[in-house]
Amino acid sequence: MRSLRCILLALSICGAVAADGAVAEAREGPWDAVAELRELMDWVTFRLTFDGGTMLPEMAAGEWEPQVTGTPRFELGLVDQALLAGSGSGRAYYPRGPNAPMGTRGAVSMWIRPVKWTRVNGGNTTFLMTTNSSFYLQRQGPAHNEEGRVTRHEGLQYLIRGERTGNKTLMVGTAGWPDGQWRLIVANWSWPTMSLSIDGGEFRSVAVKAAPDESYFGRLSVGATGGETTLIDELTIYRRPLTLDEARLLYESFRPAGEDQQ
Amino acid sequence: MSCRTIVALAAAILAQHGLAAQMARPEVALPLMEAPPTIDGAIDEGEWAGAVRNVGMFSRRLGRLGDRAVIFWAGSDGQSLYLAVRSELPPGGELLTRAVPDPDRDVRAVTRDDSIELVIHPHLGATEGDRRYFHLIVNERGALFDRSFDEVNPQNRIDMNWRLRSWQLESGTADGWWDVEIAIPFSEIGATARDLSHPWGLRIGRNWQRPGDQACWESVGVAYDDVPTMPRISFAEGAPVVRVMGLRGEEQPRIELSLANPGQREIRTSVLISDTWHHSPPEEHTQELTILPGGEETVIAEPRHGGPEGDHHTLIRVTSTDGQRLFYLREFRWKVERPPADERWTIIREDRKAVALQFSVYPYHRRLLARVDISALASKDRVTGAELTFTLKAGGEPLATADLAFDNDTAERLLELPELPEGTYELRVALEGEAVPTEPVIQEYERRAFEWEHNDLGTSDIVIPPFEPIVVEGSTLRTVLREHELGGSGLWEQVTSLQRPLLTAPMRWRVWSAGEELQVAPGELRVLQSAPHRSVTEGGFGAGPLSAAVRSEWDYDGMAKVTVTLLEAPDAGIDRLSLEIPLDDAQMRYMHACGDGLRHNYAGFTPEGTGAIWDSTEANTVDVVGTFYPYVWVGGGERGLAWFADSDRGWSLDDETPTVQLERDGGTLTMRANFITRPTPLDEPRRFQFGLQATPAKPMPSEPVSWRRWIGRSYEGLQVQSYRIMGSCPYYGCLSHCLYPLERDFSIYDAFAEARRTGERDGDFVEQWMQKYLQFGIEPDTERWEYYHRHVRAGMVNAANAPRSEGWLWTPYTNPRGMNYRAEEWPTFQDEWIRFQYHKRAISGAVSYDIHPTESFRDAAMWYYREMLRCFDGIYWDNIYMSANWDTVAGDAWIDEQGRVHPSMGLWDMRELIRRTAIMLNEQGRTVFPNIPHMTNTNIVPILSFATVNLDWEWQYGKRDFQDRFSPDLTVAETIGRQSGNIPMILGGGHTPPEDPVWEWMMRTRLGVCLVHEIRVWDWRPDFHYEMFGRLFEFGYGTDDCQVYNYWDEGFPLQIEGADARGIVLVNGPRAIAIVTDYGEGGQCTMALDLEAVGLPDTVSPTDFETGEALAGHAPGQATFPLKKHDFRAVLFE
Repeated sequence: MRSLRCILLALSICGAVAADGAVAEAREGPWDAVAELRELMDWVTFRLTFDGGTMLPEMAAGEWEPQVTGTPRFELGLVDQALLAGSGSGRAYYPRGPNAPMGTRGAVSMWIRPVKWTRVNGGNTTFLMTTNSSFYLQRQGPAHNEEGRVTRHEGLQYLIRGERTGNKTLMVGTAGWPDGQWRLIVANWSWPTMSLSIDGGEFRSVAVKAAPDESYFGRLSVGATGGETTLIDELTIYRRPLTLDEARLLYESFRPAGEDQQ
Repeated sequence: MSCRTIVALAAAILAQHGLAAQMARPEVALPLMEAPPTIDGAIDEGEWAGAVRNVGMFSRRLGRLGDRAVIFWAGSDGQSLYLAVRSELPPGGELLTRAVPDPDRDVRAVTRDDSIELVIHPHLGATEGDRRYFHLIVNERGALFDRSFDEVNPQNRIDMNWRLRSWQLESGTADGWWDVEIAIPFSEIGATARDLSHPWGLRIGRNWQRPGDQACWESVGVAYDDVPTMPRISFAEGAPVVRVMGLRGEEQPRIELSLANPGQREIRTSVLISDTWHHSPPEEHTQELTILPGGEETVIAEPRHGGPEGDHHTLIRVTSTDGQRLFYLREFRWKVERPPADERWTIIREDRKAVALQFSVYPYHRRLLARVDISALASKDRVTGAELTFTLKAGGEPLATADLAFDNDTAERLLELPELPEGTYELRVALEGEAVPTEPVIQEYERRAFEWEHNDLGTSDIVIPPFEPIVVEGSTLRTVLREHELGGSGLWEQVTSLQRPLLTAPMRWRVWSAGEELQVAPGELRVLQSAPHRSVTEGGFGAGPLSAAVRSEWDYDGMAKVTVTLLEAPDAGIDRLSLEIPLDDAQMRYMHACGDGLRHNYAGFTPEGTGAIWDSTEANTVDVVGTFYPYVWVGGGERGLAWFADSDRGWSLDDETPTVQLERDGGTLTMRANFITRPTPLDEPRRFQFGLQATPAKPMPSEPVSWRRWIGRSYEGLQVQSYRIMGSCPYYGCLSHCLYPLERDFSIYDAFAEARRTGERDGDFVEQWMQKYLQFGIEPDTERWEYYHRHVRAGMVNAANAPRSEGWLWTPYTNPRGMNYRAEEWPTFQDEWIRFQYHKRAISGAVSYDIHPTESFRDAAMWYYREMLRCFDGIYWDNIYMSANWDTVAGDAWIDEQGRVHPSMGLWDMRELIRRTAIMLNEQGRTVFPNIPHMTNTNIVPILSFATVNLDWEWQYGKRDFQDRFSPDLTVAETIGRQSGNIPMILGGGHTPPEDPVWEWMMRTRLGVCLVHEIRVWDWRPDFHYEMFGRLFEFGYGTDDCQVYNYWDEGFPLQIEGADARGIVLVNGPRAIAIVTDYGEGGQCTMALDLEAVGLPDTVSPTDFETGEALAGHAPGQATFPLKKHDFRAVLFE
C-alpha cells in the first residue's frame, strides 16, 4: 500500500510541472495515467472515495445529498481514506436516479478489505444495497451448528431480489480471504444477466426471471451499521457493464503492491 | 514515469507543434465595461458588448485551435471581473457533470468533468503588497477546485485552503451551447483600483471531455502557473473593444473583427490580420480605422484557402496607428474545416460500448435470437432503427438480416438461419439515426460440426426390460403393472396399479364461464396409434362455447403426455378450467410435491383433515413465475399417481389461485389441477400440456439378481451384484463437468477396460495422461496437478478393483446440468444447452447447475456415453432435479403479457436423457446397467422411471442420528424407490469422520434406517454394515425364497409396542427375521409376528440375530427386549 501511495504522490508532483495540463495537478493516480481508465472514467455516474472522511460523493450524475445515519467511521484505505462497514459504523442513503442506472445497464466496482471477519458465526455486512432490498452487495457471514457443521457458508454475495426478477444470487466463497487484504468487486448488470468478478477474475453470471426497470429499485444505501468489520473504498458506479479487461485493469492498477490474491 | 521524463515529453510535444518559440502571447487592452452583464447563464451578446470577444481555443491535444467551437469574453467594470464562455455541447447535449460541490474542500473530481478553468493574476508585475494569483476549475453545477499562489512565498507558494466564496457562476444550455457566466468581485481576489493600472494575467480554459482535451486562449502549452506565458488583459481608457466575431465563412476563412469605441474620444487604430495557409506566403490584411465615440467598425479579411490539408496560421493585431498601444493580439493555428460531430466527439464512438448486442445461436433449431439494448446510449433518442446482419466473417452475402425497431430502448428479433457450415460468423448491428454511433457493433459466433449431431442412438422402438409392450384393447390401455381405462373426455375412467384401482370415480374436466359451472360433455375416444413402444389416444369434451381436443401420447413406462387444445370460439371465453382426479384416499397416505430445485420439496404423509387439505402455494419454488407448480404425487408405499407439467405455457393463470389442490371428502382425495383461473377469451386456439403417470413405473430390478442383492461389495460364496461409482469427472481424465476425457482421447477408457480385465493398474498410462493437463496451465508439483493426478490414479485403481470377470458394475459420474467451457462443443452449442437466454460467451470456466439436456445435448451425451461403455457399465447423473430454463427457443420458456419470462422446468428434457440412455445401453447389448440419477429430494417418477438406482440424501449432513434427519414418512414418499422401480441408495459422505467417537453409533442408526427401508448406501464402511447385509444374504434375503414384508404395506405382519419403531419382516421357509428400528425415544419393545400370516409354525422362538442371544417372548411370535433410542434390533424366529 505504501508503494502505491508513493506512486500517487509522484504522479501528483509531476503533474504540477507537466506541460500538458493545467489540471494535471488536480488529477492523480491510474485513472489518469492509464488511457483505458481515463476513458472508463467518462462512464462513471457515481463515486464515493470516502477521502477526507466524508460520505459526500465525489461524483454523482444526479442528486447527491447523502442522508447519513449513525456515525460513519473512516480509516486509512486503499487510496486515502475508506469507510468502515459494520462494528457500529454509520451508513448513508443517496438518491439513485442517474447515479445508478440499475434499470438499464451498469456496473459497480469497489474495493473491500476484511478487517475482522468471524469465521464461525457471523452476521451479514452490507456494502451497497437499495433501500427496497432489491439489490445487494454484501458479505454473508458464516454459521455453524452446535456440531460444528456449516449451516450457512460465508461468501461475497451479489443479490437481486423481488417477484419480477426472482431472487438471484451470485456468491463467491470468502472463507479463504484473510483479514487485511484488499479485494476488488465488480458487479455488472445488463438485464436479464447479472455478473460478478472478484479481483479482476472471470465474471460469473446468472439471469433473472424478468428484467427490472428503474422503479424496481429504491435509493442507494452504502455502508453498514451492523455486520463484520470491513473497509470499503473507491466505490464507483458506471452506466455500462465493465469488460473483463477493464475489471482486470482496475485490479492491476490499484491493487496494493506485493499482493497477489488471485 | 519520472518527473524528468514527463517534462522531457512535454518539451518534445511543444517542439513538435513549434509553438513555444513562435506564437505570441495574447494581449488585450480594453476599457472598463459601462454596465455589468447579467449573470444568468444565458450569454447575451449585447450585455457582453463591452468585453473582449474571442473565437476558438487552442487545443493542447491538436496543437492548434480545437475543432470544438468555443467563444469567450472577458471584461471588467472596475469592481468585478466578468468572464463568459460559450462552448458547443456534445451530441446528445449532455455535459459530463458528476463532480459534487463541496464548500469545504477542493473537488478534484471536477477535472474529470466538462469544466471551465481560469488562472487570474490581478497582481501581475507588482513588486510589493498582495502578489497572489488564483487558479479555478469549475463544472456546470459549480463544483470547484481552487487555490491561490503567492509569488512572495517561494517556500510555500500554494495555498490549497484558499476558497473563492463570494462570486457568481451561472450556467445554462440551449441551442447546442453551454453558456457559463462568471462574476468575480475584485475583493475576492485581493484586487483594488490600483490593480487597474497594470495588466493582469488571465488564462481562460475549457476542459473538454470525450475526448479529454484542455483548450485555452493562448497558443502555448505550458504549466498553468507559468506567469510569463499568461495572456495579458489591461483595462485602459481610450482603448477600443475588440471582438472577434468569427473566423469562418462558407467553407472559407472569413475573419471578422468588430472594433467598438464606447469612449468619448475617437480612437485611431491600425488593424493587421495576417494569415498563412500551409506553406504559402503570408497574406496580410491591414487597415487603419478611426472609430468615432460610440461608434463601431468592422474589419473583414478573407484570406486564400487551399484546402483541408493545410493549417492556417493567423495573427490578429490591433494597435494604435502609431503602434505604441497594443489593443489586441492573438496568434494561432487553425483549420477552416471542422470535422463532423462524431469525429469532434468520441462520445459517439465510445457510445458504441453502451450498445449491448446479445445473441444466441441455436444450430439445431436453425435460429438466431438477437437483442439490442440501447438504454445506456447517450444518443438513444436519435436512434431511428438498426440493421442486423449475420454473415460469415470471411465475407459473402448475409445469411440473415433484419431491420430493428426499438421499443423502450430495446429490440429483439428471432431470425431463421440456413444450415451453417463450419466457420466463424459475425453478427453485426448498425444503428441508424443522426449523430449516433455508426460503426457496427460486432459479435462473433463459431460453428463447428460434430459427428454426434442428429445421431439416433437410444431412439429405437425397442421396449426394454423390465418394461412390457403397451397393449391397447378397446378403451383399455395396459402398461407394465398398470391398466388404464380411458374415457371419451381424453381422461382416465380408472387406473389399476398392482391390481388395485386408484380412482373412486373417473377423472373429470370442470369448466366455468360467466360465473357458472358448465355442463361438460365428453367426446369420443379414438386410438390414433397403437404400438408396443408408443400409443396415441385422443378424446375431447365440450362445455358451453368451449370445445377441446385431448390427446395423450403414451410411453411404455405408463407416462401419458396430455396435450389439450381449446378450440377457437370467437366472442366466447371461460373463467376456469380444471382437471379433477378423484383418488382412493385410503391408498393415498403419502405425498411428494416438487418445485424447481431440491432440498425444499415436501415428502411425507398426506396432510390430514377434510376439505381443502393442501395446495401448491404451500410448496416451495425457486424461479417459477406466478402460481405454476410442476409435480405432485400421492400414493402409498407401492403405488400412486403423479400429475406433472413442464411449464404453464398455454395456461391462463391469475397470480393467486393455486395450480394444484388436494381436497378430502369421505373416502376420496381429489387432486385438482387448475389450468385456467382467470377470464380468458377463446379468440384463438389455446394449447397446453401436462402429464399423468400411475406408479410404480416398472418392477424393481430382478436381473441378474434381485435388486435387494445389489451392493457395493462382493461376498465370498454369495451371489450379489457388486458395483462401484466414480464420483467426479476427473477420475476419467477430464477437467470438470465434461462429457469426455481431455482431447476427446478415449484411450483412457481402453486403459481402464484393460485394468478391469487384468486387475493390473497401468501406472505408466496415468503418468503419460497427466501430460495432457499441461496445456491448461496445470503444472507438476502444484495443488491442481496433485488433484488431477490423484483422481486419474484413483480411476485406474478403481478399474482394477472392479473386475468384469467377477460381475462388477462400474458407473462414472456425469453432470447433465454442468459443462466445462473448454468443451469443444461449447462455442457452438452453448446457447442450446445453457438455461439462460444470452449467456456470456466465456471460453474458460464451467457451470455446474445451469445446463439443460436439450436435444443437441442429448445427442452429444449419447455419443460420448457410448464411448464410456468401453470401460463403464452405466451412467451416473448428478443434479437431475427440475430447474428453470429461461431460454425461449431451446428451453421452451415463454413470455407473458406482462413481459415476464415463464421458464420451463426441464422435466421432459431430463426424462428423455435418462430414457434414451437406457435404450442406448440396450441397443449396445447392455441389459443390466447401473444408471444412477442423483435425485436428492426429487423423486420425480417420469424423470426416474428409465433409470436403475435412485440416489438420495445428499442432505442433512452432520453428526445426528439418521432418524433425526429423515422421517419415516419422508423416506417412504421419497427414498425407497418403489414408485419408479429403482433401487434406493443414499450417499454415504458428508458425515462426521470415523475418528469422531459418535461415528460408529451414527453409522448404526444409518444401518437401522437402511434395513427397514431396504436402502443401499454409496459407502464402503463401516464393516458391521456390510457384515449385517452379508448375514441377511446368507439368510436368503434377495432370493425368490425369501418373502419381504414392508411396514408401509397393508397387512404388515408385525406389531410393535413399547417403542415408536418401524419394522421389516423377512421370511424364508420356516424362519423369519424381523427388524425394528426406533424412531422415537426407545423403550421396552415388544414385537409380535403374525406367524400364521407369514406361514411360520408357532414353535419358533426368538433370538437376537446379531448376537444369538435368546429373547423373551410371552406368546408365539413375540419377542420383548429393550430398544435403545434410534437403535435397531434384528430378531430371528426359528
